[in-house]
Amino acid sequence: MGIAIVAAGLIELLGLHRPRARDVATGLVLGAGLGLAALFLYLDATSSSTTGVTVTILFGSLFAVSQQMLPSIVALSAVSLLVLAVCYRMLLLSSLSPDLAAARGVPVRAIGIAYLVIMAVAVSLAAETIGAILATALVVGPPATALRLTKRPGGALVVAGLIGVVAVWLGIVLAYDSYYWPPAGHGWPVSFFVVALVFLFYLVAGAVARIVQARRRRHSEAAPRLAASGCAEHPGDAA
Amino acid sequence: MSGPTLDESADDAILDVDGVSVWLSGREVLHDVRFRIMPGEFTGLIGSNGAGKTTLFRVILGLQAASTGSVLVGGRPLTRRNPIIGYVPQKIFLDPDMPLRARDVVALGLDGHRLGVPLGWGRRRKAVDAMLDAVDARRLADARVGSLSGGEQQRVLIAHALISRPRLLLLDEPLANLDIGAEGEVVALLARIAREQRIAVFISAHDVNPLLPVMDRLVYMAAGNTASGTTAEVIRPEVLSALYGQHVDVLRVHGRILVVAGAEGPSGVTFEETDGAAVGPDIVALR
Ligand SMILES: Nc1ncnc2c1ncn2[C@@H]1O[C@H](COP(=O)(O)OP(=O)(O)OP(=O)(O)O)[C@@H](O)[C@H]1O
Ligand SMILES: [Mg+2]
Repeated sequence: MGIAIVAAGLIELLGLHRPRARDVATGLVLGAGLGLAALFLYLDATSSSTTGVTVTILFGSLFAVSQQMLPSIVALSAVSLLVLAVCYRMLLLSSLSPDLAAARGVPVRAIGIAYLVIMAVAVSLAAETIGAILATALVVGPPATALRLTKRPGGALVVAGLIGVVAVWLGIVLAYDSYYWPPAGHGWPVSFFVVALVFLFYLVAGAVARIVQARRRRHSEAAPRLAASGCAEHPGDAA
Repeated sequence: MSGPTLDESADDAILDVDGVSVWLSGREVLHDVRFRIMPGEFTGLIGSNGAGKTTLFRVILGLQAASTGSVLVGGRPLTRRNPIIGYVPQKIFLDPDMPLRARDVVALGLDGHRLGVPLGWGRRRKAVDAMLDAVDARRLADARVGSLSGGEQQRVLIAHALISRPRLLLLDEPLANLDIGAEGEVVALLARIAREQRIAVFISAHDVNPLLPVMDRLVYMAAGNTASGTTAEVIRPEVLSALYGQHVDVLRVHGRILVVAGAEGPSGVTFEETDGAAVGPDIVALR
């Protein structure tokens, strides 16, 4: 089951640097990733068919990930994480402004392609485990949650990764437990729990952010005048 | 401010633009642009929308190839990356949700082009704090950049451009979208930087007036043509009329300059010849 964590962690890490201009490309890559995953699952499922192929492709199955796939999944995840770490600052600068990055000598095109490639890998890994339909939720949900909780770029990456890992693990535990839930004898699908948890975390993070903000506002209300006058005395003094 | 007496020998120029022309989509956007900027000089690049200001900056940054002519930066031909140039682009779209604090943006100015994840927290932090102090934006350090006002973002981006210690700072319309107060503050800040750190500041604007108190020289663009020199040399009816290819009057009202189309009006001139976009000097400076 270690794969799921690596995969989830990796996937979450990726959603962060999505400049709006690249949304179209991102959509295409998502589609391509899902397509690839469907192909692999199809090939895999026809050789050792336990669940129906269609069901596996659409909803995936964490429990159906085979021994033979394990090494390649881990390797792909590791390579993707490495690429992300290596390109980290260039990605940030490019998403701030491609022109600015290009002027600093950043190969914006190549960085963009590297980003899309690891994104595609992440999506197809996610689709292997929780299925094509719900993979998008696992790719987009945790970063969106992290954005509500932190304003540091590195922090957002780590928080998103953790949320993804927790959601997947907790989902697995609940899926095991659900065996005893009605209708008895049929476990509920893991994918359902994972996505439900991702969504729940997102809502909770929104509430937390709002409470923190409200408290901060109450704190700063004491000295708003001071802050305002502090910034008004500008030109020529801080020399 | 009277222009400082600078040695004008070509070798010392921080930027030497010589006969640069740029053709885009079969149209000559820049025509034979030539001027020189000395270290520590404050130079304005004045032109209306579509005059070619951004294009000229992109040429200087090596992002756009010139069709003819040459550009020397610090005495050397252009390369892919010129560490001695700092750049503040015209418009940056910053998502308010983006997890990037002002201090992160400034830190990216230090090492955003490097591979790997940043190390050496203490040293970086100190440098970033000092830079934010220098642009009077320390109190913004921990705010998300996307949530800052236009003027505040401008300061943060200036800090981003300055932290790598450039000798030439290019700013593309940093005064657009600022109110008069913020405009004056940013101009004063830039003038101070140019003076104290001897950084040549090259700033584009569609209006000369905010820059008048601090500008040493200016480059005026109209209809693909340029004229350069001190304000007194360039902002004259004869010079501007030749530039626009049309009679132009220069009015001085309450210490402000208004450039106005002449008595004949636009009917006497064929605009199609010069530019598809309307670059006529109906009123270039009116605020
Ligand atoms: N890639 C391009 N292909 C074709 N034409 C272009 C291209 N980029 C710019 N132009 C044209 O070149 C002219 C100058 O553009 P530029 O962006 O340099 O103007 P500007 O002075 O910066 O204007 P503004 O004040 O609106 O920013 C415009 O007419 C524009 O349409
Ligand atoms: Mg422009």
